[in-house]
Amino acid sequence: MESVVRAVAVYLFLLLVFRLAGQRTLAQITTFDLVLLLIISEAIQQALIGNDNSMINAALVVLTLAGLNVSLSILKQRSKQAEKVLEDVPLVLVAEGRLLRDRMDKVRVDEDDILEAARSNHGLERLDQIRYAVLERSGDISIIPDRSPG
Amino acid sequence: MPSRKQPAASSKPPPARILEDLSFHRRLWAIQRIGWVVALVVIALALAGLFGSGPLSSVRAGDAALAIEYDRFVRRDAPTEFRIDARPSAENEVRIAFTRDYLHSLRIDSILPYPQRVETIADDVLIVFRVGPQTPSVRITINAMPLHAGPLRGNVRIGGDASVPPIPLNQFVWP
Repeated sequence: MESVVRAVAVYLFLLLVFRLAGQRTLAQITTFDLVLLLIISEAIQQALIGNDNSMINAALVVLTLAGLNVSLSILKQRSKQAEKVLEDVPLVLVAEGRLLRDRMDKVRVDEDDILEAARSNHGLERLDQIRYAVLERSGDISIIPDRSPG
Repeated sequence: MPSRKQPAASSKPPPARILEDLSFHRRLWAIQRIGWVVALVVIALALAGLFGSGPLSSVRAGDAALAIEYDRFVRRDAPTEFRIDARPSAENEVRIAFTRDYLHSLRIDSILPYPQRVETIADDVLIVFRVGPQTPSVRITINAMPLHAGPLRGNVRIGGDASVPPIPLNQFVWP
């Protein structure tokens, strides 16, 4: 019983914390984000298995985590609202070449982040070459370049 | 929409349809703000000792005959320490009596100094230490781990000496 309860508690806690922290918190933008991810997994690992190093405990924890993930994905499939709550919604940050400052402030993305995504994905160098920039659910910024001449 | 820098708007393909929901984002941002405040409060309370060691948690009770120092807030499966100061009896013994159920809710890892014997009397577990002559006070350190989450209550007293009032132990074990 305890293995399942532990796994559910940790899963829900992490889900809540990362939804509250925002999409870009662990999007692995910088090297330090990756380090942070590793430290967090290290901290959680003990709570997840407790003092019980048995095979059955590990199996139950993995089974519970996988089961929760599958159940939530079924829920997301069935309900658009659940999908929004659990996985967020894309957010347009640049529309028709225009920066939407108030939205960018809210999700803590600045012009440099958008330009970085434009450089690395499309080799664009200026803001006016960007038609749309969208903060995706993964925390990445996707860029739609402006194809019009000039 | 400002039209200052869009001379060739008609030559462009129609705007991409991107699924978004601004009202959802507004609500989410508001909830995130609340979440951050809650996180700050939780961190502040943790620093104060609500979830373990800290000023809110540490308790010192008793007098010269029997005193105990312990943490009010402890965690399941995590080590905690009790420090007991007791005055030896005329027979050069210190007899510490814990409520039986209380003691059975702990996994005792070590008791220092090592007790001479342990007896069960009625609802108490009596831990008896042998003390050298002319020792004014004995310090006993117990390292233990709480086994169950939830409130943990009991008391500690000097065994066989009704003149020393029992000290209640009120703890809460976090899961």
